[in-house]
Formats: sequence, C-alpha cells, structure tokens
Amino acid sequence: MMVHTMHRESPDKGLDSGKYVRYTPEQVEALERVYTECPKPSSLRRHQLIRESSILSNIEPKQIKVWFQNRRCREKQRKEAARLQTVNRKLNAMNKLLMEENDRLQKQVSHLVYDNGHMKHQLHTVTSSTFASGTTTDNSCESVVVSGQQHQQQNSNHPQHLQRDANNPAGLLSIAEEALAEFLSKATGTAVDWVQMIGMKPGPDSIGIVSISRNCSGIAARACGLVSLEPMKVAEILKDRQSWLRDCRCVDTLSVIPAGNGGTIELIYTQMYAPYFGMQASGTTTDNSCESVVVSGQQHQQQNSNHPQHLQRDANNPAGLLSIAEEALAEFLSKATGTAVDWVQMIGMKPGPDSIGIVSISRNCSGIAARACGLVSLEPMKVAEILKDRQSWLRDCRCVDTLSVIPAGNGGTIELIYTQMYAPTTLAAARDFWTLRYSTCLEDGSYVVCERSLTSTTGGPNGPPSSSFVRAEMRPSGFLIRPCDGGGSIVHIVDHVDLDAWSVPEVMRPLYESSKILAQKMTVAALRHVRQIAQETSGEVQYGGGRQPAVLRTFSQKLCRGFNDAVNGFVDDGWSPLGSNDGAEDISVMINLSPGKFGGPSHYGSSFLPSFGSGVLCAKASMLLENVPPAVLVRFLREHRSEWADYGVDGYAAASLRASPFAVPCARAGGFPSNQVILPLAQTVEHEEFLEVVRLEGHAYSPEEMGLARDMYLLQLCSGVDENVVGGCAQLVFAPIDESFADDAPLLPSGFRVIPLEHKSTPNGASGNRTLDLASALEGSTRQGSEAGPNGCNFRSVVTIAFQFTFDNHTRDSVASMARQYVRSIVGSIQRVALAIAPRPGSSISSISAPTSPEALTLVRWISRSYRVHTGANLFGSDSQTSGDTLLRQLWSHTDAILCCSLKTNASPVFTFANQTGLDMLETTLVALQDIMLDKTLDESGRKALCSEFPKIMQQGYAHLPAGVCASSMGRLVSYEQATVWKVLEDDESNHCLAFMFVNWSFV
Amino acid sequence: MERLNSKLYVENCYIMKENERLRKKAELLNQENQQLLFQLKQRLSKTKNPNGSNNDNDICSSSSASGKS
Repeated sequence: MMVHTMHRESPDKGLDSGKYVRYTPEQVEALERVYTECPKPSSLRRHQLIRESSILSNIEPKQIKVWFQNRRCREKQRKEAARLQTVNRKLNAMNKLLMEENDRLQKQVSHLVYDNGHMKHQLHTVTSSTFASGTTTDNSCESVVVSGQQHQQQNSNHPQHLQRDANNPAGLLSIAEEALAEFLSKATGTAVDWVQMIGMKPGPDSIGIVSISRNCSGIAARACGLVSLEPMKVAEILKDRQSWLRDCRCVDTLSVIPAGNGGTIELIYTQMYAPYFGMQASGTTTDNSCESVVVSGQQHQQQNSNHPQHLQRDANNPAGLLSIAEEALAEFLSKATGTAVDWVQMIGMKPGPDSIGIVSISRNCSGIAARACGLVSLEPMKVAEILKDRQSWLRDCRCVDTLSVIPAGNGGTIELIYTQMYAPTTLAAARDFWTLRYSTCLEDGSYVVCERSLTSTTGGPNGPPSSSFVRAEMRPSGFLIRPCDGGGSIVHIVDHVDLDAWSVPEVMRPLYESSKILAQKMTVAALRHVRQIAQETSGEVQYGGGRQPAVLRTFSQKLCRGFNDAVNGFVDDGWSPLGSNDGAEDISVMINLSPGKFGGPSHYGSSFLPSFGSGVLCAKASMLLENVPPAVLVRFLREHRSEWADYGVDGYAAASLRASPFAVPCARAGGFPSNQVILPLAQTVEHEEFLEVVRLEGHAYSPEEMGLARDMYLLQLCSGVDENVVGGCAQLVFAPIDESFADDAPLLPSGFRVIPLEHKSTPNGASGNRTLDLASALEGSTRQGSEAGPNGCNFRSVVTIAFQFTFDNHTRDSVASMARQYVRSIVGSIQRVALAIAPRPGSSISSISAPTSPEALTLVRWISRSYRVHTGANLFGSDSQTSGDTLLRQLWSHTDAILCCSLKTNASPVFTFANQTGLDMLETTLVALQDIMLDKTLDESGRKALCSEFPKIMQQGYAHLPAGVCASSMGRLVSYEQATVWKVLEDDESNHCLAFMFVNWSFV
Repeated sequence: MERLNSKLYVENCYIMKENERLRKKAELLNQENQQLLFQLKQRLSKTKNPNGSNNDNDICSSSSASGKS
C-alpha cells in the first residue's frame, strides 16, 4: 500500500539516481512524530525540519513533501478500509437478523398454508359426507410421526389415563394390544386412506415409499424403506426419539411394565416444541409457545398452567422468585425473538449500515409493546451495564431503587426494583413500577436481563407504597445481548407495559395507549444510547467546545431532569402549590422553598440548587392544539425566540445566576425582542437531539439600565425536530447559564414539550370498550377532528409549558405574578404560532388551495384596503369586491406575486404571507415561508432601493421600486419589471405589515 | 469490499421486502384460516343437529370468499 517515491539523489551524495528512497527507522519515527502533530506541514516547517533534525538533514525538501503526501494518502486509505470494514460488519449482522426473521416467516407461512389446505379439505369432507363428523377426534394410538396437535391432546388426556390404569397391568396390556392391531393395519394395510407423497424418487437412492393420509381424522404419514442394520438396532435408534426428532423436547419413561408375553409396556411422557405460534393458539389461548431464536434450557412453557398456585405458595422465598424469574425470562425471549406478540414493523426503517436496527411495535396486544434489535460495537457485558442503568438513557425515569439482590443459584441474579417515571405533562399523574429483574447468561453465551412487575397474580413481596404515583405494570420485558461474530453485540430490546390508560383523562389516553410512543421514548432510546456510547468510545463522534461527550450528556440530562421535576412538582422534592391572586386557574404556580432536595433519591440528582436564592418558583400550563406537527412547532419556537420570549424576563432569569439583585420585570412577551445566535455544542449520532448555547445579544431595555446591557447565555436542548420521525414528541428546554459554562454549572430549566396524541384509528378486533372509547373521544373533539381522515391531517397534540424562576422572600409575590403573566402570554403566542403553522386542509398536497382561516380573510381585507387607500387604485382592477371569500380568492390567484413581511424596527423582516404566485416565486410553502427573510430575497440594489424609498413608504404609504432581481428560497434568480411596496394598515389604522407586489416576474 | 457491501445492502433490501411480503401473506392466511375454522366449527355444529337447510349455499359463498382473499 505504501507508495515509494522515485528520488533523484544529487551526485555528491554518492547514490545512484532513480532509486527508491529508503528511510531509516529513526527517520520514519521522526517524521511520524511530526505527522501526529501536524499532518500537513507547510514548506517553511518542512525546511525547518531538515535544518533542525540531524537525522533528516540528508533528505531533500521535496522528498519530505512526498513523504507527507504519501503518509496522508495511507492514512486516508486506512480510514476508508476501516470504515468499509465497519459497514461490512453491520451489514452482515443485519443480514443475519433479516435471514433469521425470513426463516421464521417462511416456516410460519408454510404452516399456515398447510393448515389452510387441511381445513379447506376438512370443510369439504364434512359437507360431502355427513357421516364423517360423527367419528371425530380421539385416536390415541401412538403413530410413528406425532403431530403437534395430536401431542396436545395426548398431553391433556394423559394424567387421567395414568391414574386410571397404572395399577392395572392387564388393562394396560389390552390397550397395548389394541394399539398394536390398529398400528399394523395402518402400517401395512389401508386403515388410513393413504396417498403416495409426490416428489418421491423411484431410483436406488430413494429413501423409500412415503404416504400421507387423506380424509382421516387427525393427520398421518407412513414410510417404508430398507436400512442396512439389524432390526433390534433399528428399534433402539427409533425408540430414542430425541436423537432424531428435532421438535422433541423430552421423552420421559415414567414406568416400564413387562407385558408377560415377552413384550414391554412403557408409559411415556413426551414434550414437543411448538413449531410456530399459531399451532397451539387453537388449543390453548396463551401466547407462550412460539418459536424463538434463542431457547433457554431451563424455561418451560407447559408448566405455566401449574405456576400460579406454585407461586402463591412461596413467592416470598428465593425459589418462588426464581420461578417467577424463569417464567418472565421465557416470556421475554418469546417476545424478543419470536412472535408471542403480534409485531408490526415500524415504518421508516432503513436497511443500510446506518440503520438503528429493526424496530417493531405491537398491534392489538394487551398493554403496549415495542421491540428493537440492532448491532452495537460493544461487548455484551458492557451493553448490559449501560442498559441496566436506566436513568442514564431513559429521560422520563426519575429514580430506580434496587431494594434487594438475591443470587439465583444458577449464576444469575434476581433484583427487586422500584422505579419512578415522570409524567410527561401536567395533565396526568406519574407512574411507578414494582418489578423483579433477572439477569443471567444463556447456554449459547448470550446475556439476558428480563424484568416484570410483581403483582397480586404473580405473588412476591409488595412494593413500596406510592401516594402520588399510579402503579403501572411491566409485562415481561428486557434485553437480550448476543455476542456477534467479529466483535460487538446484537441487542434485542423488548418493552411491554400496561400504563393503566384508564386512569388518565380521556384526551390524554392515546399517549398511554400508543406503542409507537413507547417505541420512541423507551425502546429506541435505549438502543440509541448504547450506540451513542459505542461511537463515543470508538472516537467516531466529534464534539465541539472541547467538552467531553460525557459532560455534554450530563448537561442534557440535567436540563431534561430539571424540566421534568418542574412539570411534575413532586411533594417529596419540596414543591407546594401557590394559590393565584387573580383567581384564574389556567396557569398553576408552585414554589419550592428547599430546592436543595431537588432531584429526588437519585445519583443524577443535583446538589447545585442551594445557590438559587431562597426558593424556586415554577409556573406551568398545558394546552391542546389541533393539527400542529410537534416538530414544526418546536422548530419554530427555537428559531423564532423573539416571537414568544421577553428579553426582560430572560434578563431576570440570567441575573439569578449572579449575586446582584435585579428588579422583577413585568412580563411583556414580544415587547423587546432580542436577537439570538445559536451555537451548536453537540448532537446525538442520529441528530434527534441537539445541545446548544443560545446567545441573546444584549441591549438595554430601559434607559437607566443602559450600562448593564450584556449578552446572556442559555444552555438549550432541542429534541424531536426531525419531521421524518413519526409520532415523536418534541421538546425545547433551556436554562440560563453564566459565561463560565462550568461543568457543574447550576441549571434551572424552563421550556416546552409537545406530545402528539394520535387517535386509535383501528378498532378492528378490539373489544366493544375500545370502540366506545373511540366514539366518546371523537364526541368530545370538534367536527373537524371527527372527520380525521387516514391521511392523518387532523390530529391533536398537548403542549406543556413550564418556566422556573428564583425568588427571594420579599419578591415572592411579584415573581409569582410575573411568572404567571409571562406563561399566559406565552400560551397566547403559541396559539398564534399554531394557527400560522397548522397545515390547512389540502395545503400539504402539491396543489395548494387558498388558506381560509379568519385571520387570512382579515389580512387580505387589510392588504387590498390599504392598497386602495394609498394608491387610489384597486388591486383587482375595476371589479371591486369587498366580501371576504371572493376577495381572498382573487388575491390568492392574482397573477402577480403578492407577499407580506413583518414590520419590526429591531428585527430583520421575514415573510408572513404570500399568495399562490408569491409562493411559486419564492419556491416555498406557506409554512416554510415564515423562515424566509426579506434581506435574503432582495439583491443588493433591491435592498438599496427599498432603503431609499422606505421613508416615502412610511409617509405616503407606498412606493414603486424599479425593475430588479431577487432570489427564491432555493437560490434561483427571479427578475421582475416592477415592485410595488405598500404599508398594510389594520382597521384602527395602525401599521400591520409591509406588502410587496412583484409585477411580471420570471425565473432568470 | 465496497462491492461486497453494496451487494449485502441490496440483499438486505431484498430480504426486507421479502419479509414484508411474507408477513402480509401470513396475515392473509391467518385471516383466511380463522374464517375457515369458524366455518368448520359452524358446519360441525350444524351437522350434529341437522336443522340447517341452506348448507350448500353457505359453503359456496364461503369458499368463494376465501378464494378471493
């Protein structure tokens, strides 16, 4: 791979020209040292190197240059090779997983096809001969091939059989003789309607003659062939069923009775593995016996029926707990790699090497479930360690307490765990879990950690009482970590919970019934976290700000945690409600006088808060929005902070970090918008979460504080703004931070969380209850909501807002009223923003129809009225219309581009509205329009012309700009013949915005 | 290696599609089987007390229905 260079040595060195340069190991070492410092040294540096280093003094500068070129090239190749290797490993693992799944599915389909044919046949038989139905089922003779179904029947019949006849050898012998006769008549006779199996070979290599039954009760097959072994040997081999029948789990000979005539009677108990899940579904309704990739030796499903009594008896001793653990393990495995739950693949999965893995969610199962499976480049034990530390990756987890640890005897460990989970909004109570967690190694070298709730049905000790929590149930869940060829692990994660949706307000119920949200918040989050750490460990992640990834992650965790604490306001954290003075209950305010207790019983809890005044106050509210995609709303809130934030309030929050007293401002959202600059700090591998610093550019907002104007900093965490993620919740949380950005900086987060509430739109196969629930849920919503189509245009989200401030004893009331007002004004801003960004019906489709909201009607009225007032001419020619709808349609389809942009003195103008032609010109949509700035659209001369005409516009109300060029949002140039600009006045003659009309425009 | 990777990628895509197809097929078959099982049970219970007179009609319609799915 190394490219040696031709080098013409100068004659005085005494070497032949045209030879490869050979560097001595010392020289290479010296060069490598330089390379690690600077892979691309300047020519100056190279010359310096030759001068200063005696080892390199005999090498020509040009050679040094070539050496570095080669070295860089080699490095690049090596990196590329390593990358390809990694990609290859991932693809191979993915391939393996997909193949396994394919295998399972194929088996499932072929069994279904077989069953299908069989049933069609049966149906036909039943109708053609009414006799057949009379002679049903029981044929308890043991045949060579035992089907699963037959086996089932035997299983249930067996106990009675044994009890009745075991003490009576004669009785048994008669059964045996009868069986023998029946068997012989099948083996060599026609007791069964045998049909020869197709595909049999007639030649010498043929296995023999194989026949299958037709129209018999049960199913039967027979084979006859020649083998070169003695009969007794053949019998011995065939009797050892386990040696040749793969589906045979065990054969227990319970008793051996000499039959008197030289024969032997044995009573045998046989267990067969279920070949696939549907097979037993007809016999027993449990979901236990499905095929899974990994089958642990200890587990057994059939014992399930005996379990409850067993557990009740001794669930409080280790043996009882172990049996619960084993049962949970078996159930977990059948979900993780099998089909115990009706899994549906989640949409948006990628097959490539960057894919997170295979994510599935449950359909129609009791509770909600999600599973994910993916490859990570960490050792299994490391993965287990990370995943077990649930608080490190599950943002909604408040605390995890391990109350007792019991060695399981087989090398495994059983833990009893109490977990608290934050409520996502103020509208519902938090959840907690009381679970048993079982960690153990499987025979194939996999490591498994499974967990399930201990309830009255499973038995076991009772968990700690919970007052402010609703006890949720965890069905057998967990993770299975399989070592992967070539390093790394394949991780299977299953989450299956019942969040007790009935205890939350009806409107919130979809959130607790959505397996998609569970998948996103828990299952995929876990996998992502492991992958994130794996990538950090391997150094694949580049981080800004010179911070360690772990430090940045701690920042993110602290922000999330602080926000969750604020939203939940637990009494044991020291929160208590503060009554409102103005009587309104839309905003709830809580205070915490002992903020040192923050964080609850957790090692993630922060001891930083004592630095915050005498207390912390939180104002919070939740609201419902219709048709607002969470990602879009949060992105807007992030990018247009000035639309809702108040500089004075930000200033107050920032000042609480310093000791200096600061007057409590009165909240005026949007009163003094500040310019924000977002500086990215870090983002997760899949870009679903960003940590950033927001710099709010300082300007004095009152004359007396002119000297105090300074920049403020917010540490901000933004997540879920990727619109491609379906059904995800989005969040924007920030906390003031001082310029030092210390790793342990105190953070008092505030922010927004937007959670989509999807309606359960598929009540098929569900109980009447759910249908009722759906109906009543729709009853409560608006007419628009009840018309929710399959295109998903109509949906609701819940927005939770929480803002925290510090206060001193004497400022408590003023801070409270400021906070209350501020949050109220933010609620108003969000409603305004929501109205603007909600996609109108049809607007998401390529042919855009005019917006029809009352706001749009009003705006259009103002635009056309102002035009008429200023210019004296009519915008739509002579045909003057005043009725709203027609006016709107006329403006919408006007052939010239008409655009409105904001009119603010201290912020650069952005577009707020455009007609169809305007959208075409800017190559954008109504939603995206609001991110486009006027400055970026006009070219230099256009901007100059506008500036010079601006006073005229303000005075006369309008001005014409000469022909020019502007740019679309895609950067395409647009030429126009003339632009008219006028001031749009509201009904009370106050300025609303600026309107532009670009006449006769065309793309250049 | 690059070629091998893209081959693997394409193969994975293919298997994914294939799996999706199989899953759909399994779902359809399962539905059909449920239907058949139901009919079978009905038929058996009817033949046990032979009061039903419109047996043949039912079978015709049911078998054609299952054929469609």
